[in-house]
Amino acid sequence: MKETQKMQSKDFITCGIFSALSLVALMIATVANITPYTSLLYTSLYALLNGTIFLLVCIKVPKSGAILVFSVVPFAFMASRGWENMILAGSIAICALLSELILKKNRNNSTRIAVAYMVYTTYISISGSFGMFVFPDVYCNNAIERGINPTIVEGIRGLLNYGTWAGMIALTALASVGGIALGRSLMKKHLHKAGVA
Amino acid sequence: MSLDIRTKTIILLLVTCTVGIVTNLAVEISAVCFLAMMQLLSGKSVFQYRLLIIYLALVLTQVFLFPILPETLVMVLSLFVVSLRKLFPTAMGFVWIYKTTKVNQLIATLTKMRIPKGAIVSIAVTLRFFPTIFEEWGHIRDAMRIRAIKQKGLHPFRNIIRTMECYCVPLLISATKTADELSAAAITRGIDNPATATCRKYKSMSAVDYGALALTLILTIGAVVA
Repeated sequence: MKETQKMQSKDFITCGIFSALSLVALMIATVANITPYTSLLYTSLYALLNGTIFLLVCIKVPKSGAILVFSVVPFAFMASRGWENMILAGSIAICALLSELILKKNRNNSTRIAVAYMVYTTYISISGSFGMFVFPDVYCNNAIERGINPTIVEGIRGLLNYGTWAGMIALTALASVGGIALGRSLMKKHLHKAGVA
Repeated sequence: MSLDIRTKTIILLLVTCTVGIVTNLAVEISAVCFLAMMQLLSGKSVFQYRLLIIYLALVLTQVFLFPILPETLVMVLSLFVVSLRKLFPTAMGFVWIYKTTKVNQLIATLTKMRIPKGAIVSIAVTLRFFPTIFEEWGHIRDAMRIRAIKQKGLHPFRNIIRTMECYCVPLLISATKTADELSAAAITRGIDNPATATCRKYKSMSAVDYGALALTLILTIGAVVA
């Protein structure tokens, strides 16, 4: 039977399951947010962990719209976390759309998947830390008001500049390529043998 | 007290927005207590007393212990305590929604709201599959303990990679198999039926919902203005 290019219920379910795994990856990466210093590595950690999941979605559901459906749960999760995360939710939608455009119908090409994933993860590296780097004074004042020691906040303030932000975005882009490479090696070593992909 | 999913989502949004805008500790404590009250009103099994106790311990540490502790220790602890404390209002809200929302009711409500089918199925599956991931995680951990997977002589970095691999591979295989099984079950139960799905337990917004929303709105305005 000829497989249709339109998303079917089975594809929606597969995307939903991988979305749940992606949320777990996000939760694991959130641990890095426990201190403002390590929070600079949060986006790269997420990009590294989520790479295999993104790769599997591209391979298991090689149809247009798969990344958009995969992004529905992170979008809903972010949108319900208050006004600070609304920008993040909006950028998830934009980045998912851009990834879809990059992938088009060729969803088995490794380079295309890596570029699409690199674009996809920019939502978290750019919008996720937008407030922190664009309005550092507000961020630091809020931190002091919430009870963080002023000496520590002063130290953090020194790190909040556009150079650090650019470094963080570059590191996330590198980590996303690493994530896809890790996914590829896991597939070669284990998942192909198990008949998963 | 049983609230509609829309009401619960709006309440969560209002609470998280208030806590985000107003950085006052009193407002945050009130928000957590309000959500704990909502959990309690929704049923004894929904109320997360452990979360509330941990939150109160963090607040007490910040208010009473920090002023008497040495400056160096406060510098280290304040980051951890405040960052962890900040997560509690959202966590309490999510637990409340998760524990009180049935998947069929959620599907019926979202269908009524004319949300696309793909998004509904994706959200419903995630909600159903989420606890399974943690169960699976536990099983993998047990299996690793039985087989003594951790190698003591190995370089710490290689040990981390190996442990990650040991967790990821079975989890991904299990997720893929679950996706296939769930698809087969859903197709058998008529997920592809083009007719609009109905739900016997679907209920529209009631007076209780509007009352809860009004109360939350008043509290939100009070917190922002005060």
